[in-house]
Amino acid sequence: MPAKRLTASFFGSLIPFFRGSSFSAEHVFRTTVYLRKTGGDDLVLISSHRWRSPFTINVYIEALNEEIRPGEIFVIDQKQLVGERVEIDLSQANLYLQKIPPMDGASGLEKDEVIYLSKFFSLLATAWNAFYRSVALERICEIRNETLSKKSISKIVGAGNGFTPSGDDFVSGLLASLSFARSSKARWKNSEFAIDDELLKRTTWASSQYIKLANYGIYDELTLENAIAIYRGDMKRAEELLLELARRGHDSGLYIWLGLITGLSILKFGEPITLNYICNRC
Amino acid sequence: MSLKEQIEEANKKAVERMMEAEPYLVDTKLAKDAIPGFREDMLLHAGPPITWERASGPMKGAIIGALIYEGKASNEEEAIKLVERGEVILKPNHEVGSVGPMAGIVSANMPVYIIEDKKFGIRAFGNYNEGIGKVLRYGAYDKEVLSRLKWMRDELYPTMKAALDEARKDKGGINFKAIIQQALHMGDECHNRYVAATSKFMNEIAPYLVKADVPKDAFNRVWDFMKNNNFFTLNIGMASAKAMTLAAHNIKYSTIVTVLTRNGTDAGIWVSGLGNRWFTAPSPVPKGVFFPGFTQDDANPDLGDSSITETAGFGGFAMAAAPAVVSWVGGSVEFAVENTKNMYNITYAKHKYFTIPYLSFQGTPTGVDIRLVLKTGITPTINTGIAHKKAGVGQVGAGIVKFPFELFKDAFKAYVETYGA
Repeated sequence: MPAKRLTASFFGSLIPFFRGSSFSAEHVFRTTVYLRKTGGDDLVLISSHRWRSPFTINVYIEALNEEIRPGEIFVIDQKQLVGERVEIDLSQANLYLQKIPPMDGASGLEKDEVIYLSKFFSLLATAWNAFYRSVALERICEIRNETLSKKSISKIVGAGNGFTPSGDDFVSGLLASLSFARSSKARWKNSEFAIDDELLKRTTWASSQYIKLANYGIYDELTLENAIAIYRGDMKRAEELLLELARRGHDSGLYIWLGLITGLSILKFGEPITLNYICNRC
Repeated sequence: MSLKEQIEEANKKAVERMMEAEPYLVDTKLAKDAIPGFREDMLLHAGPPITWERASGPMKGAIIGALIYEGKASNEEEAIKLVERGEVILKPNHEVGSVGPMAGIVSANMPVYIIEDKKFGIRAFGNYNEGIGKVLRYGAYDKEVLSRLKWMRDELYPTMKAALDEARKDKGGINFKAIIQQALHMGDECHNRYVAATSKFMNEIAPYLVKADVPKDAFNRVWDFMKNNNFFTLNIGMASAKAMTLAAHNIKYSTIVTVLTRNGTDAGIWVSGLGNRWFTAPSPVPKGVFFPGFTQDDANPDLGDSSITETAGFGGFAMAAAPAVVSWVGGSVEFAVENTKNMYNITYAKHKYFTIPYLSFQGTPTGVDIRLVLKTGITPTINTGIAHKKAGVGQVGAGIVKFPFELFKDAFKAYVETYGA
């Protein structure tokens, strides 16, 4: 039986680096398939979500889990992703480059605006029943006044429930903000700390890859758009994008945003404004 | 207590009160005698506040018709001049505890139903239903429309009053919550389908009509009018829903929506914890099924207070109970079921008393929570009548409409400003 042919709308800029490599469908969900490189840890996503990333192939399809089976092997060649039952044509797709626009002159959200967003987020998060009772949030609050270090971050990695544990989502957002500030030539004070394999072993493969990529400055478009809006001080956009990101996954988006705003407010104001607000209300 | 706990406690109280309210139809009077603060120069209307200049065709038509009905103008031109000179006060029904479908115009000498909530002692009001097609509430105001309104005042109203006096003496009035409860098990959703509810109501009122000893001719005309108008009890259901939602209103910290409404130009909402503060956005145009000779292009943006039914946990939210309603509002039976299921995502509770047989007698989705609308991006989806966009034409169809997301976002922002500190 010939493989079903799908057409990609976008593929990320990391995909060409994997040409000739084979991947196995490690996790298969309705809208996203996690491909793991054979004999390695690299991550490639096939996703029908409209948001893009450097490691994602975007397709228009209702249910990916009806087409792709767990364990199915894929090879990325010159113009397509070839699987046993599915082939995805990349030749018609646009290349997604994670472009960070020039940030010269951007002053970022003011302190009172971050406080307002914190209130907005805090109230919104009350609608997620588990958020204020989560182990991950408890641990995040415990380390909020510590200097960011491998030791402090290790207390959060792997904490919480879900395919990507909530603590990891927070760390991904935090690292995305720090790497965003680096790559956007921020005038704000830089901050770095080491993420090594030992730390990544504390969590699941897929989650560890998100953390690793975020640390390299590679993350999805929605996270990027959020960072840009906060960094530019575009309050209206920041509010809209917070709502969009908050809806991701079970509560993944909430934690990613919390990590993102925490990183950016530490860099600009020297304190985790939103975390302080949230943790005082736990 | 954390803000989350305060919200939880407030919402629980609000929705409990909404579900526990016991609306009875106890009386009927002319609006000027029934509604506190009603003035002779006042016209109540559906939806959030509106000015004459911004009013849509059907709203303008209904205002013109009401002024002619009241004898304040003898024709369209005089009526328009009267409003333009500022001699008419336009006020939203909701601000006085009243409701009216579509344009929802209530004038001083129009009869209104009086609903009394036996549990919390709240009163709500609703005007009379004229039937479908060419009627005032859809913006029509020709001779036929006005003579029907006059008959309703001169014969239907005194007949209903006499019957309700007897019902009140006998058992405190007609328990309309019980009628809604039963009608949901008989194929109504009690917004755009009131076939069973009207039949049940006729069963209830019949002995009191007989007891009231009204003239036989009047009795026959009133009975025929009720029998031939499946929407006869829509306005009673709406006023009952208003009483239920008033019981949930003005509860500090509550994020539950207590008004969902439209005036043909804007849609508007109230949130319990934010009092009578309006949040508005442009009213969407419904999509639906049109009467012969009319198309989607004829449709006016949505109007009416009738979405108070969904606010109280029935109507479009209970469409899974009423597969036959899709022949009136469009869509499929599957859509009707899906819509009810979808509304569970944005509501606080499943109703204790209003249940849906097809969904294994689950309670209807009750108490829209603005936080859940923001969380999910899903907005209340209701069914509705469709008015022609020009004044004077009337109803041209029925359909489905979604409330704009902006309403809930603005309300949420106001909530953050009020309680977020």
